[in-house]
Parts: sequence; structure tokens; C-alpha cells
Amino acid sequence: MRLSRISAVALRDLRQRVAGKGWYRLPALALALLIPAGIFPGSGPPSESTVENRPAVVVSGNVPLDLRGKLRLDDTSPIGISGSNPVRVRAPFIPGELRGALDSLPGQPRIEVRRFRPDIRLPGRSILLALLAVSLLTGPLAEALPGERSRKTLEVLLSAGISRTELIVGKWSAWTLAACASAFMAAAMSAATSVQSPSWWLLGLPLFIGTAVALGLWLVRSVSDLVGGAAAPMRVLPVVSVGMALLAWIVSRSYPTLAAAVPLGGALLVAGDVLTGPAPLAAAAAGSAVSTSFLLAWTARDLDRWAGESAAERSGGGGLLAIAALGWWLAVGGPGVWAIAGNPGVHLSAVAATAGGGAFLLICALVAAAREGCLDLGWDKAGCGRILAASAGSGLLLSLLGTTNTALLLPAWSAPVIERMAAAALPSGFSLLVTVLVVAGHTMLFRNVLQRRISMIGAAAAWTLIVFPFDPIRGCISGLILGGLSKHSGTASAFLAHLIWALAAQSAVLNLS
Amino acid sequence: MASVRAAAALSGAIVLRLLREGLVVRALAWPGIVCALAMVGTAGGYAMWGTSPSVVVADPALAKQMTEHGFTAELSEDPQKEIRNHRAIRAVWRENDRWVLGRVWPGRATLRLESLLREIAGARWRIDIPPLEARPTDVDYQAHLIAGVIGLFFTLYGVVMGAGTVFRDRGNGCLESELSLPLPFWMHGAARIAALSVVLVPALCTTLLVLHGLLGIDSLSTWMLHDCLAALTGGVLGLAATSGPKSDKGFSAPLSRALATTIALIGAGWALPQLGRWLPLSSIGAFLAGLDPAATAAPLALAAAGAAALRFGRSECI
Amino acid sequence: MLKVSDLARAFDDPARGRVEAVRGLSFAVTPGEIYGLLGPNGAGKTTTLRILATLLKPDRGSVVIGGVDAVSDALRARSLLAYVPAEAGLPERLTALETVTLFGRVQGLRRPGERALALLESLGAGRYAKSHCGSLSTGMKRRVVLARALVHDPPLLLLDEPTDGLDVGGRREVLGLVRSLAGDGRAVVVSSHIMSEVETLCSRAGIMSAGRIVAEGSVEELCDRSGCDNLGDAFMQLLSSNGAEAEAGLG
Repeated sequence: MRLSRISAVALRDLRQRVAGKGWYRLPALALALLIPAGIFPGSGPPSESTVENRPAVVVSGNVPLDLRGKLRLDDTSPIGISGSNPVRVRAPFIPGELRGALDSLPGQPRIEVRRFRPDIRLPGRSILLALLAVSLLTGPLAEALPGERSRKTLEVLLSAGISRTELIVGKWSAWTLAACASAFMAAAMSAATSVQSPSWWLLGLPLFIGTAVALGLWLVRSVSDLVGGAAAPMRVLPVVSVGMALLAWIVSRSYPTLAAAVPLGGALLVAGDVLTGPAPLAAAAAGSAVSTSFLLAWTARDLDRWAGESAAERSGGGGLLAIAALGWWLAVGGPGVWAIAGNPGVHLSAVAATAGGGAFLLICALVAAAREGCLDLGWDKAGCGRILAASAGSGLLLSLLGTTNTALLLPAWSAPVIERMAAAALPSGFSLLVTVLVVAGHTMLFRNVLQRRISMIGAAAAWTLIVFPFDPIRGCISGLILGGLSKHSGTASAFLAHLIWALAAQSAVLNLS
Repeated sequence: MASVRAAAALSGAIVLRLLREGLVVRALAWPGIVCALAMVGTAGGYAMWGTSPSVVVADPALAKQMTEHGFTAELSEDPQKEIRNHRAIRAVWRENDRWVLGRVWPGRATLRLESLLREIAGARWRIDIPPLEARPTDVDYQAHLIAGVIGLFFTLYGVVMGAGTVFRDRGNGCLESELSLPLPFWMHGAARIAALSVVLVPALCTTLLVLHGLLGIDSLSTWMLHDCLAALTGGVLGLAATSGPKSDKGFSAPLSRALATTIALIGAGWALPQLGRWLPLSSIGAFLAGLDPAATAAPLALAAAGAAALRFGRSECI
Repeated sequence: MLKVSDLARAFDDPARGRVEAVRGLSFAVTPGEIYGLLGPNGAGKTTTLRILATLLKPDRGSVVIGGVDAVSDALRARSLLAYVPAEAGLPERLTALETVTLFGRVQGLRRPGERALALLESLGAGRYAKSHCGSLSTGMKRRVVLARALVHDPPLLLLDEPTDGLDVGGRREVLGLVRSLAGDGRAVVVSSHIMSEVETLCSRAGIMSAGRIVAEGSVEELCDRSGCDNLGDAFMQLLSSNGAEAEAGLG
């Protein structure tokens, strides 16, 4: 690796962005954005001072008069007060004003709730500078590799005797330097206006920016169009940065120095003035150096391993399946997690959740069908007999088989999720509209889209995995019957058969088990 | 009328193209996936680790009573010291004539502990905690924040899509062919903005609805409206940045300009909510800062879309 | 069918200042005629075609298409012409049929799908109607582009370097198609810098240099005027005699 070549690539990249009449635009924009972020005081969460002094409560029974005089009666309040000795307060939380009023009652063993400061150092304004400096790199990162690739200049560079590593390190240096320069200018303003005093965080800024730029280059290493190259870092960089910072923060509760070594996250916490001192800084520097080198080496290795079409543009059955599964599970089963957490009220009703899940699957399937041009459902008019046979067969089988009940193998606390999933899989007790929606979503996705992509057996397996994870035998058999019907008589036939047995199960006609 | 039908057909074709691009679908699904996973992760974590909250006490008898009521009680000679030294987050001890409940965080577990302590001590006033029927009020601000972050995510994607739809079509010659159709040029800009809305709005609303189902978002309709307006305005800014007559034909510089303007406007709304609540984009910043957006944001967003379409029509952007 | 008079258009270039891309261009094309615009790179051919297609407004001059003033009534003029740019201009993620149908729909046809399929079949691209445009070969893309241009049966066709990037076979096929389109009575304007192509295809040609037509006539007339045997030599001779070679940066 020769320094002269690396600097030549870096200067070339920077010149291309800040050349010509409008050379000042990008740096000016960066500073115009970063400097106010560094010095502006901003506003935080809504203040609690807006709460009225006299707490609103619902009073019942013989509550002492002197206490009653300190309260404001409001029938809509979630706080109810009754009795005199003891006075019982039924409330999900106790506002400070109410606590003061209650504590003034005479003759009681006093109980004081005392606050202690958490052992948490909150990030300073500098974390915003680090994140903003990186977010501004979306465009340049898209130009750095996808842009070069689309203009065919990458091939020219690679054939000019420069090594892949030199090329990548050159590009990385250019954009790390540019982002660091902007961030340091803003940091200087921040320090000058006394919003944040200079400290270890200044040294954390380049560590985070350097690793983020390396990750950005890695993300676009196989992308060949500019729009895809801009979208991928924008989507992934902030989430990964914040996620890794969260991980580092959790680790820092016990091992602050080790936390600083967490790639990206540790450096971000140092840049945010959460982790301070020479040891965390050294660990962050080591972690950043290792992760940056690894990412740059990987990017250099994969530089000419692109298949013409960008990775961002490719789509496979796996992605669609993952999105569909996540959507269905989150809508149908997700709210059940709150029930496990002791808060069963925090969720959509089962009907709304199932309808939402069905609608989500339908949207997924329609998007996929529109993308692949398979919106034609196919309808075999001669297949009425088959439809009835399949619907009766699958319905009878499902009812006779009963549940496989793998749920027994799972811990008891998972019951609320399992119950919701089971109710949604065989949409019983729902209105016709919800049933049609759910059946349409399942048919479009599993029979029309996925069956074309991953075969009938694959689609049946996917259906079982996503819709019947706790009842796999039912899932497999019904999936195969409906899949076979779809294959031989068209997707519309499978929809009809599915709808017939769902309605039959709903009206308990076939519910023999 | 024929022109409107033609523009609708053009818009439909652009929607189809956007949907068939994997990156658009991924971008639209991403915020929902990330936020929903974060929510479920939080709830799951709470379900696993938060059901038996810990407390440090000095008295073994008190510890036994607390254990019987579902707390994990630890004994210490000086509970106050434990919490002061950040080795505990809840502690109970006697201090002269009173009981002291030391806590780091408020919340349901602390309230349960106080309720139990009041029963044990025979206090003059006691606490009955009702079973939760709605989401706890202590996630109000978090839900508010997440709704704003979702809007920010979609707005940034809107900028990329708005810029990308012109840039790509210009690059591969589609725009040149389409502009030779018998439609006023501004309709091509309007068709692109309409297509962006068709793609962004349902995805954004679905994401907010899923999160509302999981977490409960106050002022859901206000968030939906203003997040959608922000995403649309972001798309309009992206479109305007790449379709100007004097703009360079590259992608990164116009995109960076549009992104910086978007972030600056949202940031300004957060920093100056009194002003920001009147403007699209800034309105979500102002709403995050606690001020309800003003009704002017919607007409101003539509006016910006109209202005961008007219600008597209006037500029020779091929 | 097409009458162009004293057409001029200039652009602001950050490096070179004000650049006159087209300077006082005049020519006419009758129905059934194939008119070639010949010139080196940067001569102003594409700008001229873009003005004729009403994508750019001229600084001065007039363009009349089928009796319609294309400068003041661009919308009506656009329904009388079809413009095929040098880039294929096909959306990669739409099928050939969807692309042609969309243009038919925007042009106000009643059954655009049927018309599109019929056109694709007549141009030999019927088999690929449901293939994504991005997956088609360059030759097949050209057929789809022509089908898209012809969907509303326009009397004037503007083709910007229609054989760019095609192999010998594809080039022959496209030239044959253009010839047959002119045979149906359409006026065709073709821009090219490939002499042999213009020689076999065009009934008349205008040689452009630095935004002006420096010579115009049939291929024979151009050869006679320059005293050369073929159009290639005639082209070089006419360019150099006008002192335009250096200005246009030929080569």
C-alpha cells in the first residue's frame, strides 16, 4: 500500500465533490446543519409543570373533609379515593400533588419515597454532531462506489495499477476527513458557545465517523446504481449505530472499558461523552481500528464481485417470507407479549389484530404479485367439484385431527401469544369480512406468490411455519391440499375452498373435534 | 379530462415501477420492522426479567414478606448505601420516625412496592393498583417519540425516492420518452408526486397502525396526517432538487442538499416549535417538542407539491 | 409534414459560457421521406431533435408539424409525432407490453393493450411481450421502443441514432423497419453519424456542423458537390471546406 496512491484517490474524490462554481454548497450545507445542532439549546420532553396543582380525582365514601378540600373532583380521572382510615387510593400512578395532600393526613406511620440519581451518564450534544456528520455522507457514499460503477470509472481505476485496498482506503480517508472536518468545526462552535465543554468526546468523533464511513462503504460495495447506493446506508447506518450504542451501553453498566471496544457503539458513546477517560478511549480506538480494517478489507475483496444488478434491487422469496412472517406475528401474536408482561390491555383486540395481519399479508402479496406480474389468479370453471372436495377434505381433516399442541412444549408464560396465534390461524368467531380478508391474504401470498417461487411443498411449509407454528400437522396437511388445488385448478379455487372450510369451522359445522 | 386520465395512467406506471424496485419495498418495510422489533423486544425483556422486581432491605422479616409478594428481596445492613452507590435500584429502610422507599426509577414495580410497604406499615393511606386496561402513562412520551421517528424515517426515504425517480428516469432515457407524450410537462411532475404519495402514505399509515396496536400512540390521527405530509414534502424536496433547470445532473449533491434541508427544517421545528408548528416538515419537529401542529401545515405542503410540479414543468430537466 | 425555419437555441455552459447549439437551422420533410441529420458529435443533432419533439423551446425560429405550430401549440404537435431518443428509455421493471400499453393509454387509445400486443407482434417482439424490459437484448429493446413510438400511429417519426449499440444483424433489421415505416407514408427524421447507414436509408440528408446545416441534398447530390465517391468522404470534405472540423472537435 502506497500513501501517495491513497492520497491521490482521496483528493480525486474530494475534488469531484467540491469542484466547479458550486464548490461551497456541500461544505456550507454541512456546517449550516451541524453548527446549529451543536449550539442551539433545543427543547426536550414536554414539561411536567403543565399539570394542574390540585390533583383531579374521583372521590367516594367518607374521605376526610380536609383532604377533600385539597382535591379537584373529576369523574374522568383514573384516580379514585375512598375511605377514611385508611384512605384507599386506587390509581395507576400517584401524582406529586396528590402525594403531598395525602401525606398531610395526621397520625400515620410516615412513608417517604425518595428519588436517587440513576448511575447513567446521558449523552451530550456531541452525539448529535457525530450522527449528523455521518447522515450527511449518504450522497457521497452513493457516489463513491455505486456512482463510479455506474459511470464505468471504477473499472478504469482498477485497471490503472492501483490496488483494491489502496482505492478503498483512499475513498474512506476522503470522506472520513470531510465528515470529521465538519464535525470538528461544529464542535468548536459548540465549545465556543459553552454548550458543551471540550473533553474526551472530541477524540471519539473521528473514531465513530471513521467506522461509520467504513460500514457505509461496505454496505454499498456491491451496489451498482446511485439510488440504491443512497438508500442502503440511509436505512442501515442509523439503526446499526444506535443498536450498537445500546449494546455498548448495556455492557458499560458492568464493564465500561469493554463497552468502549464495541464496534461503532463504543465510539459513539465516547463521542457522546457517555464513556470518558483514557481507558475507554483507548478501547474505543482499538475496537474502531479493528472493525474499520475488517470492513475495508471485506469491501476491497468484494469490489469486483457484483452481478450487474445491485444487491439492493434483488429480491428473493426469503425476504418476502421474512416480512410476511414478521407482519403476521407482530400483528397477531405481538400484542400477546404485553399480556405476558402483565399488561393485557395494551393491544389490539383479537379481531382487529387478525384483520390487520390478514390485510398485511394481502398487501405483501399484492406488492409481490405486482412486481412479478402474477396478478392473474386463474380460475378453472370445471373445478367446482374439486373445490368442494378439497374444502370438505381439508376442513374435515383439520377438524378431525385436532390440534397438534406443540404449545405444551413451550413455557406457560407464552400461552397468551399461542392462543392469539391459534385463533387467527383458523379464523373462528370473526365476522365474514375479517374471514374473507384473512383467507384472501393467505391465498394470495402462499398459493399465488410463494407457490410460484418456492414450489407447492415449500409454500405449504412456509404456511405452516408462519400461520400454524404451534400446530404443524394441521398446517402441513391443509397447506398441501390447498396448494395442490391451486396448482391444478387455479388460485381462485384454492381461495374458495379455504373460505368454505374457514366459514364451516367458524359456524362449527365441521368442528367435530 | 383525457389529460387527467393520462396523468393517472402515468402515475400508475410509476407506482408499479417503484413497487417493483426491491429497495423501495425494503425501505418502506424497514422502519416498521425496526420499531416493532424494538417494541416487542422491550416487552419481551420486561416479560422475562421485569416480573420479579428487586429490592434491598435490612430486615429479614420484611424481606420475607416482600418475597411472598413477588419481589426479589436482598438483605443488606445499609440499604441506603446500596442505592446511593448504584448497587440497587430499589431499597427500603427505617429512618427515625419513618419508612423510606428509595428508588431510581418510577413505574409500576415501584408503585407495587410502595403499596406493599404501606400495607405492612399500616399507613394512614394505602394504594390499590388497578389492573392495567390501557397502556401505562409512562410510555406516553416514548410512543410520541417513536411516531416522530417513524415520520423522520419515511421523510428521509421520501427524499431519496423523490430524487431517485427523476434521476433514474433521466439517466435511462425514460423521462425523455415520456416528456414527448401529449401532456403538459407539469403533469409529469404531478404524476411523480402522486406516485410517491401512493407508495409512501399506505406504508407509513400501516406502520403507525401496527405500532399503535402494540404501544398505543396518542393523537394517532394527527401523527398520521403530519408524518404523511412530512414524507410527501420530503419527496417533493427530493424531486425539486433533481429536476431544477440549473441543477447539475449528478445525484449526490442534489440529494445531500435535499436531505440537509429536510433535516434542518425538522430540527428547526423542534428547536423553535412556536414557528415550526405552522410549516410542513417542521410541524413534526414541533409536535415532538410538545406543540400541536397548526392547520396551515397541510395546505402549505400541498402548495409546495404544486410549486414543485410547476417548477418541473418549467424546467427543461432532460 | 415538417417545416423548420431559422431554428436557434443556445445553452449556458459553466465552463464555456453561452454555447449556441443550433444556429439558424432550416429544412423540410415531406410524408414518406426519410431525412437524415448527419454530423459529428456535438454538432447539435440531438438538440435539434429535442426541439422538434417539443422537449426544448427554441430561442427563435419556427417548427410546423402537419400544419400545427409546434412552438406555440406543443401539446397538439406532440400527438402528431413520436420521438425515439438515443437511450432506449425503457423502464427496466415494466414488461414490454406494459410499457407500450402505458403510452397507448396516455395517447388516449381505447384498447391500448390490444394495440400494443398487435404492434409488438408485427415488429417481431410478441414473444417477449411479458418480459421485463431490463431483461431484453439491445435489438429487442429497439423493437419495443419502436412499438412504443408507433402506438398512436404518428405521421412524423423522430429517431435519434436508432442503431446505436446494435450488432450488424440488429442494425439491418431496424433499418428495414424504418424503411417500411416511411413506406407507409410517414415522414421520418433520423440523426446519425454512421455514413453507410444514411447512404442506404435516407432520401435526403443535411450535414450539420456547429449547429448549422452546411450542406443538404440527396446522397448523390452531396457526393457530386464535394467531388467524392462516397458519403463518408463527401462528409469530411464538406466539413473541412466549411472550416468546421476544428470547431466541432471532430474525432
